[in-house]
Amino acid sequence: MAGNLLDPEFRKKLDVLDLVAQKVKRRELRGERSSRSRGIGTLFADHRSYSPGDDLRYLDWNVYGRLGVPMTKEFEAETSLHVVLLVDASASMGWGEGGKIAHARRMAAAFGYIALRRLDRVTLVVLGEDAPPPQTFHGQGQIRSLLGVLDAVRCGGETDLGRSARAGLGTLRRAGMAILLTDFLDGRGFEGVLAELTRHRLRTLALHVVAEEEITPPLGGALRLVDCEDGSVRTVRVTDRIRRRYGEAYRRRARGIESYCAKRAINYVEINTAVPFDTHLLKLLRRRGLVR
Amino acid sequence: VRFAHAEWLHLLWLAAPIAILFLVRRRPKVAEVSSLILWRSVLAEDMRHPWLGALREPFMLLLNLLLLALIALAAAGPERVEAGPGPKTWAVVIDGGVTMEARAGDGRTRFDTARDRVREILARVALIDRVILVLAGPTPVLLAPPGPPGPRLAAALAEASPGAGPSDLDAAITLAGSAAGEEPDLLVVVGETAPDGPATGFVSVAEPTVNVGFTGVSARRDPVTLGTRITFTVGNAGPDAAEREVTILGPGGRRETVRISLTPGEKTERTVDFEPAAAGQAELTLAPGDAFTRDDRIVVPVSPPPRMRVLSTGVLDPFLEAALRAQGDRVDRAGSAVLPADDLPETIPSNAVLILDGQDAPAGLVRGNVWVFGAPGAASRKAPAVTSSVSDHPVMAGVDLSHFGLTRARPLRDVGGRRVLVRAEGGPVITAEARDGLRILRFGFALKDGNLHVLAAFPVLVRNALAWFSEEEARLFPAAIRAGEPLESERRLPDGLGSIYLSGPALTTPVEVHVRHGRLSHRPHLTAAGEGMMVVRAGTRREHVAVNAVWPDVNALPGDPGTVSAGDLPDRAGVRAPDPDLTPYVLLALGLLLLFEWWIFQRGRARSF
Repeated sequence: MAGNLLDPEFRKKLDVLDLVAQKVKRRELRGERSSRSRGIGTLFADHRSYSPGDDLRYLDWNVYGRLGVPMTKEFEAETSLHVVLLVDASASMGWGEGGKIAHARRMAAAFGYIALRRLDRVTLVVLGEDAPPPQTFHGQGQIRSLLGVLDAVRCGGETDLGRSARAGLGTLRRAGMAILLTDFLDGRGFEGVLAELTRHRLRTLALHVVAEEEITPPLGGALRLVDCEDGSVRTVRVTDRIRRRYGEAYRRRARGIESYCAKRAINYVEINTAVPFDTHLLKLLRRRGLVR
Repeated sequence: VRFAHAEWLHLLWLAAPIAILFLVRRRPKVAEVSSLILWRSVLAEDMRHPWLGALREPFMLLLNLLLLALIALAAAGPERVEAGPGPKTWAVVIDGGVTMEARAGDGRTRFDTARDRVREILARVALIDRVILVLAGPTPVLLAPPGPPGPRLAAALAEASPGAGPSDLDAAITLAGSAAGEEPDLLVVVGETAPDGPATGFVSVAEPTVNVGFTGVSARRDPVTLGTRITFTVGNAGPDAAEREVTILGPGGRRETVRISLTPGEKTERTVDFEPAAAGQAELTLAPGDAFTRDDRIVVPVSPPPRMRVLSTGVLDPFLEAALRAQGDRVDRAGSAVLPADDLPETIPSNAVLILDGQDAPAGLVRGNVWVFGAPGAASRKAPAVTSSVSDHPVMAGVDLSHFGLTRARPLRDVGGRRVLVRAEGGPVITAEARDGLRILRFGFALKDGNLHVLAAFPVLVRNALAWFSEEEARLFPAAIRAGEPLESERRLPDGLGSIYLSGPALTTPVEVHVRHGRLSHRPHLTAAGEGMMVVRAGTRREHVAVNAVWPDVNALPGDPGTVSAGDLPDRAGVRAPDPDLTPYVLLALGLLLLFEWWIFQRGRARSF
């Protein structure tokens, strides 16, 4: 699973995503994203009153003829986007049969593929102990490199998402878009990593990767539960009531994360590993307008 | 409360596997989870009432066990014991006679069947009632004193076994009545024959079967030949004619075989003589055997030959002394003694002979044996010729006096009561007198006045004389009695016998028998403890009584003794509901319970992933 990002089957799926990317209006080679800064570009942004010295080429003569008021057209400046992929590689992501990290790898690979195809700049930040330093990829020629690095991501160690994000984003100067792939299972709280992304003024898409077994654990009877990250143990008799309360606790926590994200203009999406990743990508992300 | 189907209570054993399943379920299994963050929050809420969690599982176990107990109890069919008009006293008498050991075709004895019948009866006894259990053996035994029904009766019943002789039902019923303190309300007899007296119920357990056995045996020493004469009686108490072969292994090791045929109810007596031998035993065996094995073989001790003591008033003639010595063990030399001639006793023991020389028997002698040489008589005659002698008297058996001659003799008086054995010129020279325990052999000459003592006939005559003297008087006791019968004297006991004692192979100390007015006031029942040859010692007399395993009329059961089955007896334990067959319902409930247990077990199993 971990080593098949480069296999032909996965590449076929990426090609489908490529078609999605082709539908996006073609822009100049320097970038296919409109910048918030007003300036030279092709995307109309607004009108403003003419000021002496303005380029008369941008005077809107139609408005002047209709209203008699000289108005200058403003355009969004088109720049290349900096996409930051943050992939949680703690032990909990590799728990069980490794479904979560595999899902995260594929999602990251898909986002990176689209971005690089659109000539965006992509920085991969692996969150975890002994994680490799952040690497930046640019241009279609580096798609294969990105996929190779993602393939090499291995899970292990405890999670400190906030610290890992701080370390990974420390040298980042440009604003851009951050795609966070994590299970938010951090004993220090999920807020740290989100706050760090906000601090860097990154438009963030938080993808909460969960396994179905974490939502409704198939457990019962007397159990010694062992935390796969720190090895701590709790003995519990899992009954229907306990299972029910666990489900409630899970939903409460997910709602808490979503609410936290909403307050900070962070897009939050729950990614269930039981659903194929491309389905997620095409349905969920398109519905939310994250991919045009 | 009692249970109609108590065997269902064995379902309670399932409590053990249920408890084991519970313990297995309690043992935690290890499961790895991605994080304990959520579990901690869940358990933090749960720990607010930890005792609830701790109690939940034991409560479930108790619930399961309670369910199981309810199923078992329901299946066992508890019945409420209704209180009757008042407590009643039951007396249950079990026939414990030796014939209850007879085995039926299935190998079970009549006593086994009787036990089952008694258990059925006890199941009908109310808890408020009192039960007395009596075993009617040769001597009745109180198995269980009055008390409520319960395990004590079952234990007493299990330990009971038949006795060695016929049962005495009347005595058992009397014992039951005395133990109850009053007349029992219900008297039930379980056995072979119905009692003569009134009884509430009689439950028969017997069926006629083949039974041929010894009904009597005696082994007696012939006083003359000293051989052993074994007389035995065989009876056929079965319903069919039978042929048997009797094998007698005598005291000398000789084996004799007698074939007999018997019709139903017939008894026959046979006699077999064996050569003289030392003391020992004779073993009699009937072949083939039958259901009653104990009367198919019997062992009879053979008493030693009688020994005679010799009393005298002086030195015996050396030829007589030699002839007595030649008798061997028949003469008790150590017991011989010399008595003063002027102070002779009035009674001489029957196993002794007083030898007098020139002196007649004392006039006051009432009992005993006296042998007189040179007895006073008529005037002395010189060389009287012996004219005649008899041969039909025990003393003269085999005695050849053809060369007998006398140089001097005093012819004896020929009076009534004296038998003339040898007559010479002038009158009798040897007479024998026997009357009322007194035996006197008179010689009208001294041994030195003739040639008798040098004749070959002399030792024979001495042997005959001793045998004649020692011949037992009329027996006081029967030669053989049946086991369990009382010992009774056949005639009035003579005065002066003193105490009477019984001794036998199984009696370590002799049993004294009291005599009053010439009759045995205490009639000892000779049971298995005395089986074999018993010795009755009355003063100096010793008589042997063969006490045998004799059970005649075993199968003489009445055609219709008015038997009732145990189920016909009144049920004091309450009205029993009809017995529906609960088996399918119980099995269904049990299956559901086990399914429930399995479901709980599976539900509680941890899955590792």
